[in-house]
Amino acid sequence: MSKVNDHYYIVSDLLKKMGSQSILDLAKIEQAMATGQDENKHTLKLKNVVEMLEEYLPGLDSEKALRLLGIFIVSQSGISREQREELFELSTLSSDQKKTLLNLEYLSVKTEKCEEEEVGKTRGFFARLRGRGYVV
Amino acid sequence: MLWYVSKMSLRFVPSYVRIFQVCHAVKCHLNKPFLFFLPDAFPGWMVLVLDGRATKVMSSSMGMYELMEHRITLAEDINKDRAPFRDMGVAYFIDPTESNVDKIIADFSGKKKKYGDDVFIFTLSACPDKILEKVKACRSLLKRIKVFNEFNCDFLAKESRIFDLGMKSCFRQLFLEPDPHGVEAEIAKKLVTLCATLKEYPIIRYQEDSKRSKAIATLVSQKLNEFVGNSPDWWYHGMYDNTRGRSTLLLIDRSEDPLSPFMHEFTYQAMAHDLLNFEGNKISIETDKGSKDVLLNMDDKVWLEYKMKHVAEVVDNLTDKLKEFAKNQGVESNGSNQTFEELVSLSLILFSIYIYLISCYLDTFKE
Repeated sequence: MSKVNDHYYIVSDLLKKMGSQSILDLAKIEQAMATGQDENKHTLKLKNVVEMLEEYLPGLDSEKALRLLGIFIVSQSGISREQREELFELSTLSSDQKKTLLNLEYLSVKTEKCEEEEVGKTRGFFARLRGRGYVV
Repeated sequence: MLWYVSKMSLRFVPSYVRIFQVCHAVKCHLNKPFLFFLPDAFPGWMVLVLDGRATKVMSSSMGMYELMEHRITLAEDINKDRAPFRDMGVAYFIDPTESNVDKIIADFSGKKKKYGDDVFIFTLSACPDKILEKVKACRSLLKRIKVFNEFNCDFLAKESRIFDLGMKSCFRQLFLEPDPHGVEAEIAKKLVTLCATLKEYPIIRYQEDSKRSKAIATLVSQKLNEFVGNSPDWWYHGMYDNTRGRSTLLLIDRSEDPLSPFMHEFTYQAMAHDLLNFEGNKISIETDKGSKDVLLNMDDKVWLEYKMKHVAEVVDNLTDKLKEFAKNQGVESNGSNQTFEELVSLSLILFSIYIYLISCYLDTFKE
């Protein structure tokens, strides 16, 4: 029972933090970018996504901004150089954190792209894996 | 004489290890030396000497209390100055590296030996021949060795279905170094000890376009076959019975899914680790009675029940539980349907209320 009590404290602390850091709003954007759809299952245009980011980035602490931009870059499989500079400018990222995002290249993520495209739907993890494994 | 002891046979293995449960399997495996090797060979108390790596492996699933039950009085770090205990036996759990073996040899060379005449050495992974030669060359140590066993457990059991190789820097090395062969070999070696502990002889599959996965897959396959060839007594799931086939080892690197680490997840465990300050799995919380530290691990049943659930669900469930408890407290005299555990925790809470009241009285008394 004392365990339940402990967890009650932990959860209420968690809820307080979630409220104060507006995690719910953040997660909405994250979900939208990752799936390419908004809550009502409408396909998102790149323009909408950029607008959302421009609205949210300025007030965000750097760790959360890093996550948002990371998701943006990965889900778009690369963004244009001008756009990147623009978004970096808006955010509070340190130079190390900017480098972190560019280093995604090592994970074979494209970080730079010239032409504009619509937000693509990222394929499911297991769907991509199917038929591609090799047996030793 | 060096000799390998292998008393473990099929009938000793509890049935629950059959389910893929890393923690259980590791616990059984870690208990093995104490249950099967040590009692027959040596009746007295002994000292346990560990290196850093072995300490981590050990403490991931065994506490000092359990060690005491196995007649271990003291656990010491091999790298520190240790006091001599000439009337006690000694069990070494070490990574088979040269520096570790040198330290063991140092314990038994010279006029004054550090420990008694019973020495047990367990190595976390396969022991290279060079190291074995070194041990053989030291006569005063050799004649005291009762058991020398490749123990094959070089990973940390994190949760019932999660293990950790304890190689934090390997991510960087794997992806940045042009030829990370050393790291790959290390990973493969540890994965083989995992298979050995879990009694799995898996079919190995890997991600086609990842050269790292391919390299590790090849190495694991090679080392595992070597291990199986060298251990005639070892068996694996799916060897004798057809109820469960061989398992599959699927090797995938982070390039397959770079997105997930960036996302906020709403399960209790993920959210807690994102937003609260953890030290390992310890967290300090603010209660009415001040702050205290809570360990969130395998022993915490509430944590186990809720950690994979959505936070909102956890809140609902916890509130229900507390309400139910409050109701139960109201009908305390009708205690027939209360379990013993609930009664104990109830009495603990009553006790803390008592303490609180007494302290209040004392305060007013002082005033």
